[in-house]
Amino acid sequence: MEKVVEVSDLAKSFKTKVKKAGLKESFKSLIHPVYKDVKAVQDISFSVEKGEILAFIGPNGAGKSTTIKMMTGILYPSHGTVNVLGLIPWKSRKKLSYKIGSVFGQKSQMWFHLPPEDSFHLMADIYELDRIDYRNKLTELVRRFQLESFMHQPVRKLSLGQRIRCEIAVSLIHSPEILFLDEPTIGLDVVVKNQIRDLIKDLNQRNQLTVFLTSHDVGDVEKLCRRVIVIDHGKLILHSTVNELKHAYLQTKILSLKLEDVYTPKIQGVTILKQKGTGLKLEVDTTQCSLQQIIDDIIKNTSIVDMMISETPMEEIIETIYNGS
Amino acid sequence: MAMKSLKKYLTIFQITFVNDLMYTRNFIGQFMFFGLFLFVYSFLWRAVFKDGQIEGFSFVKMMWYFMFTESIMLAKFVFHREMAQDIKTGDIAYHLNKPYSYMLFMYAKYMSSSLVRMFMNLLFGSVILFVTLHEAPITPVNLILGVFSSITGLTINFTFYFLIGMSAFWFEENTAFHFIYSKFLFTVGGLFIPIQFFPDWLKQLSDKLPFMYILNAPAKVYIEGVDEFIRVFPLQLLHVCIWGGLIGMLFIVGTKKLAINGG
Repeated sequence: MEKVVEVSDLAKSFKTKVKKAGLKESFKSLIHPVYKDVKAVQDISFSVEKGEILAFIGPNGAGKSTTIKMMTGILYPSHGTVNVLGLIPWKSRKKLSYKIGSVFGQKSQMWFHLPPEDSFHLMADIYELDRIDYRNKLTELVRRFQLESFMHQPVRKLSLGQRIRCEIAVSLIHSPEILFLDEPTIGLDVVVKNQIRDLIKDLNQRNQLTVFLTSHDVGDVEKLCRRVIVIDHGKLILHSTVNELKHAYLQTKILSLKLEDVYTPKIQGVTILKQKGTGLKLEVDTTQCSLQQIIDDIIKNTSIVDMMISETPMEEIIETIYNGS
Repeated sequence: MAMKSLKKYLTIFQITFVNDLMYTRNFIGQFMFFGLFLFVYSFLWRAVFKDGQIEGFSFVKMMWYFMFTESIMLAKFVFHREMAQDIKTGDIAYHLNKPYSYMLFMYAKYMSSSLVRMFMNLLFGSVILFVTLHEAPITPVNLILGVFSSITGLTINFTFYFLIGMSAFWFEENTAFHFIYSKFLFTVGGLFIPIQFFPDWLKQLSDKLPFMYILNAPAKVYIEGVDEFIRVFPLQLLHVCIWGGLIGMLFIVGTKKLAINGG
């Protein structure tokens, strides 16, 4: 597979001023400022393949945004190398900007008081698009993102979901090869979130668009990405496929049962989460007790009326990883 | 290629213009403020000029001078706060990853907003003065040259607003810089009192500073025409080059500083 992004030993550190509270300390800080070194990103390496959707996640302040800024050429690294589509971002920032698109969920690139069409028109000129190419692309994006009904309404009157659809569409006006999505589903309701995810997936599959996604929403990762990179305190703490991640962290299964008689398990690795009459909810550590073992034991003692086996939610897996780091 | 590059800034200019039309009510407030200024100062200048002319200025000429300086002063689109905020929050990054010059982007926005307001002010102020004074010491040629000089004056002002906004790369608080700058415009910029009224030493000092080329010089061109234009316009262009070059260089240094603060 062709690699479109290669990051090697990338690091970024900067100095930040520290000052204790109070007037006296403020004066002290004026005369003798004290600085501390902050290592925002520490020697991270990874690559992104053409046409994949990669999740780049981590808690607040983990270094995600700094990494993206270095990948798009906005920040200079302290050391390490980055190659995006054959370019060194901070040396060829302008050239690279024609090949990449970006959407920052919390920061709009639309003009608030004007209809979306004006922002599309501006972006077309900013990216120096040919008038005919622009018209064709606009027609395609309007159809695909279903923007017709609000293309002529001021952006300030759009719902958040409509605005995000416009934001993603406008970032694609110049047909970028890589799309950087920073929290694209933040603040959206479940229905709109799924619409946005479907659109991203569709773009990826039809246009072979590479997507570099950062999100706090585990649903985005689970539903869109094949691979996930977890970063914390500037360090890369996990790099695997979403399936491997689930497998590695899914040592426990949740068993929800409706039985004929009251039953209390006495097997190592099985914890009772809830018991009410013949209803029972168990957590089974599969490294100590197989599902077969516990079900056999239940059947030996009583009969099963109803049963549901569920996995640990992805959200909890991510939380475990963050806490572990 | 150069045309395409220029077109993007013209589109930014055009979009800002359309966007500003959404704030038409602000114009009414500004006109009321402007009208009040003209009214109050007419009493002051009538008293000052009751015995005749000062340095070639009559009461009527002084009122038109004041109208021109105020038209420019009130037209300036104040963007340094927005820019400083962008730098402090890191939002400037969203501009830097687009294929345009941030400086020219801001210039196109600034000029679009400022020019609309300046032309509206000139129209409003001229009507008021013409109706009340029945005299206008200006010719169509003066007007055209005055507009060129005003645009250049606004450009010099842009470099200072950009400089103040950019100071956020190094300083956490920059409102004091704007305060000091506006006071320079009030005094040695010739907003209320023409530089020509100053003692010789201060007149000479003001000639060397950039502030009079923002307000005093264009206002004098409107009133005095070709000769004044030939004298001040090259100096205005010189200031645009000096300060424009300086902000260009400092911005490059600043964005490297952003690299240090960023994240």
